[in-house]
Amino acid sequence: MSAFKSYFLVLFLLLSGCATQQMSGSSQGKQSPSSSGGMPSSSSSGGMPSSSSSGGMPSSSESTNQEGQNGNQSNKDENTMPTQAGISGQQTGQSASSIFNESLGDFDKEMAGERDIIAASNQGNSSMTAQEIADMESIMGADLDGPIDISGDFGNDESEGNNDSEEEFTGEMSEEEISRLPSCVDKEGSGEDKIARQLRVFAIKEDDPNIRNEIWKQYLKHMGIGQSQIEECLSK
Amino acid sequence: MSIKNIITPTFFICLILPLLSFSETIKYDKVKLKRAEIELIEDRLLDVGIFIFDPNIPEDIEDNPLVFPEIRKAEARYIPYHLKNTLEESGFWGGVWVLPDNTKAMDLNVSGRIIKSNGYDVSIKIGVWDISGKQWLDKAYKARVGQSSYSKRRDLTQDPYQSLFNEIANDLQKIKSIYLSKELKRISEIGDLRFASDLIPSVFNDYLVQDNKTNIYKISRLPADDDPIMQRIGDVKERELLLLDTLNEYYAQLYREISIPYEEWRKSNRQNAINYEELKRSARKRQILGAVAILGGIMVDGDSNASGYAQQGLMIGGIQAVQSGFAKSSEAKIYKESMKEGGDSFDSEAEGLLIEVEGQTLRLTGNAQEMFLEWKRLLKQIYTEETGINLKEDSAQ
Repeated sequence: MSAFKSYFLVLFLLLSGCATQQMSGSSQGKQSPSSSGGMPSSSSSGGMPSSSSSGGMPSSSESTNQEGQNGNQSNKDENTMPTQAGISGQQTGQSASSIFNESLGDFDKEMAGERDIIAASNQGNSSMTAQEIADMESIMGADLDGPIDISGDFGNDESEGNNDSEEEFTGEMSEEEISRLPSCVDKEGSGEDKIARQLRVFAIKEDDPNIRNEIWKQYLKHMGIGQSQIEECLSK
Repeated sequence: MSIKNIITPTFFICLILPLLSFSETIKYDKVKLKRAEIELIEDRLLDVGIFIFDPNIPEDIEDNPLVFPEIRKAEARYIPYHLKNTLEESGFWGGVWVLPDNTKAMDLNVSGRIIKSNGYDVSIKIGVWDISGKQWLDKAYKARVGQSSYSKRRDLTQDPYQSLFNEIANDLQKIKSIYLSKELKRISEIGDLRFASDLIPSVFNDYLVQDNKTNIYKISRLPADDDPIMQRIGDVKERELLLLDTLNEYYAQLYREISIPYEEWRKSNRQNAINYEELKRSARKRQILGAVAILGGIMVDGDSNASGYAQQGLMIGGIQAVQSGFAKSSEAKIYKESMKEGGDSFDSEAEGLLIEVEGQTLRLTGNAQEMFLEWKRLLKQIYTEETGINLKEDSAQ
């Protein structure tokens, strides 16, 4: 009998140990739950959160389901979403008001992060608005002591043509103009976008070699050529 | 030779001549934007939301080969974004945002449908409602775009369709100017209450009454200025605007990326559209003239040499006119093909850019939706904690 007693005692201890481990594991998960991939995916079709014409914000029953789903998540991640932080906060005894304030702050951080990403991608992106190109042209024009008429035709008359500066440029180049091309610049201008083409026109038309060099630098930089290669190219 | 034999050819020549001498004088629209000369007081500044436009892509797309779905979808985002810029530039409005979906955070909502846009003719239907439900505007705007609108010497902040944007902005300003400051403030207050009622309907539904006939909301009572739950709702509203700011950054990206190729497409498409329309018109005119002349030739009767010559002349001239009409018609097809080619090329370019912005919009709004659900739940809990009132299951107004 004592052997049986010992057996049951060991079994009981083992079982209670497992149960304790499970409980502590799940509570740890709820304290800092998050999805494994940062921001949780949406089950909605992606409309604005506030409303539709029929009723606005999603119903509270949806919220309850969401809560249940979030509660089951247990992966630890630094990118804990505010929603989940709110739920975990409640379970650690925080008041609804402080959870609310905390989640507002988290949301602000989330949005600030998002805007940083956008700003970074804007910096990396070479696309410019027409106005920015115009500004660039006017700056370049000022540097070059007065605007250069590189466009064939800017007339407003209906019958007038639509010659673009680059269209005119890609026609005939004089020998002098060809001699102004650095060795690393493709004569045909392959791979150039609008801005690069305009920079090339400015550079070729420029008589002052120092200013021309500066414009070529901008051109090569815009074409994604490294600093050392630029210097090497322009020194030749 | 009878009088009839003289009158008949003369009649047909008289009929043909005005058609030959007919030429169209095209008037291009130039509408200037009205700008606020002084800074407006806060009560007069309404927040404006512009929904992404309805691209109005026809179901039978194969029967409309000159409507390019992806270009239309891109325009449905580009045009509202430029309208936002125009409204901001006018200085008559508070914040202006492009909206992916419905929201109650705005005082004024603008929706639009693209009817036509080919670089030469543009037509857009605009509807505007304030948050009380009152309609401000329901109007179709049309503009014909001149070559000078695409000039590189123009102010490049001005879109080739700028006259149309200016007209919409001026109309909205004109309507707003009718309202007294206190009336505009009341619209904003209704907006705040509708937003609050969206978050905690069981508390805030009573603050508003909706007219059964007009469906327009009116305020039945106002919360206290220092109402803590209203302040928290204000905090949530700020976050919704923050989300919209972020989304609008993505729209701005699309706007920037698409602006140059879109303008180039419009410019080349415009020229093709003019040539196409001109040739089509010319072909139609020649075919009608030819038919009239042939008919005239048939009607001329008589045995005299003169009537015989007149009959022959009308018949031969008529047949030639019909033939040249068909030739013009075939020439027009070349420009149509050219438009199709250019459109298809930009269409696929636009598609890639749209996928990117749509993906980001879905991701952001999806994530935020969860957050807003949680705030909704928390606000109810806070309300119960602070007032001791247990809220029933909510149903939004």
